[in-house]
Amino acid sequence: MKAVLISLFVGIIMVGCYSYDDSFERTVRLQIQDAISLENRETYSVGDTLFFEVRFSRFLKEEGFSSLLDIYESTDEEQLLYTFGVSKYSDFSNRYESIAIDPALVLGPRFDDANFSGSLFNSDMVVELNDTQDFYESRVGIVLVETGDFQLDLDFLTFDTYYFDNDVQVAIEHSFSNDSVINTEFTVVE
Amino acid sequence: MIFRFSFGISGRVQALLVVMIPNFLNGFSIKGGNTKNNAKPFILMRRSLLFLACFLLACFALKAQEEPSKSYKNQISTNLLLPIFGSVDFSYERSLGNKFAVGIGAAVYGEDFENLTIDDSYGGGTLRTKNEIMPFARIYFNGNQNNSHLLEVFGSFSRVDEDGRLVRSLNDVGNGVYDIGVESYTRGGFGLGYGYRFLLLDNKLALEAQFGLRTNFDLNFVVLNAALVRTGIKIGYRF
Repeated sequence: MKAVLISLFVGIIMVGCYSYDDSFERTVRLQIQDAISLENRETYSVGDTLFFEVRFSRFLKEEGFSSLLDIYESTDEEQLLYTFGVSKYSDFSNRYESIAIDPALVLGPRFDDANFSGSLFNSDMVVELNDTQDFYESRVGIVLVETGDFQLDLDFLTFDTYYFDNDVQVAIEHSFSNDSVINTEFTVVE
Repeated sequence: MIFRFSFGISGRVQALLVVMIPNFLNGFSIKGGNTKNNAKPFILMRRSLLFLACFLLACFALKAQEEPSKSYKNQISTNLLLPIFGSVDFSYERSLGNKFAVGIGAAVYGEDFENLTIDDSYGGGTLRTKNEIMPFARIYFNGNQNNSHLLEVFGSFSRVDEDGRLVRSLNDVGNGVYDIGVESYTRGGFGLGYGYRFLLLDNKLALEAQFGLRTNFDLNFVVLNAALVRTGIKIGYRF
């Protein structure tokens, strides 16, 4: 009898060691797919402008919940930041290498905070809430000024809120689905 | 009871009296002779009362050792210090022979209890433990259950309010919305305690001094966020 009672209480004590996951992270992480479209041209000439567009709803599915999440009401942010990259094929390395682009050659909405400095890889682009306040949108143009084989690095973009303490943060991770027909490689000729 | 002890003292109690009574009397005599410092008589009187309390406690303890003890299986007790922190707890203990006991404790904590914790800040948020249930097991050693040291191991299920958390709710049109707010959840923990227990009044009254430290476990972080629980002076009734 004593052994049973002691075992019972030790068992309860061990169960007491279980703890609810109480992560203190304040960032809501979401996933979207195929929110980017572009012209899918394979060849451009020097001086042409390549455009791509980003568009996704402010109401997004969230894993584990049946209701859509209202991004705008949660964050009160009309702009979300993102980074895209451009790579150029190098015969030296036999692979695509990331390149920096003069901001003057990148057209489109940028984050308008003077304290925020853009990186080499155009990280200060934003998607903006449209006039009807139902979609976040961004149309970006890149003026092509040199020849070569290029690749747009758009696959694993993340759209983030600009960080302010004590605010709700979101990080919306983008990927292309297997059904996507988007072609991010292109060649620029004279 | 006190009267009976006063005249039924043993050799060990007499030895205690030899040491303590002069101190006790000394406190009153100095108090009477000092007129320059008004605070000193109060300090000395308090010291004298403390000596008296220690003496009575020693008498109780020694007397309890000398008399054959009655055996009770059940004990309920409460911590006398917790009300200072706006809190209260109760414990039930069931003896399993002379050396072992198991039981369960429950506590409701006020805001001042945060003074006894080091887990009131967590990842930028604020934690407040509201209540707690603690199953425990004890072993008594260096004596028996009448007067002995005790070691205790206990589990903990605590209800915690944490502010600065992401809280999801539904807006008027049924969409989810996050806000920074207070989230309540239950978490588990584990603790160890050490103490000493006296049994008085034919073993019906228990007086315990105990120190206990409890920590909580998180799945994501191994953080020692400890609190002094089951710590203090406890008084209990045995039946």
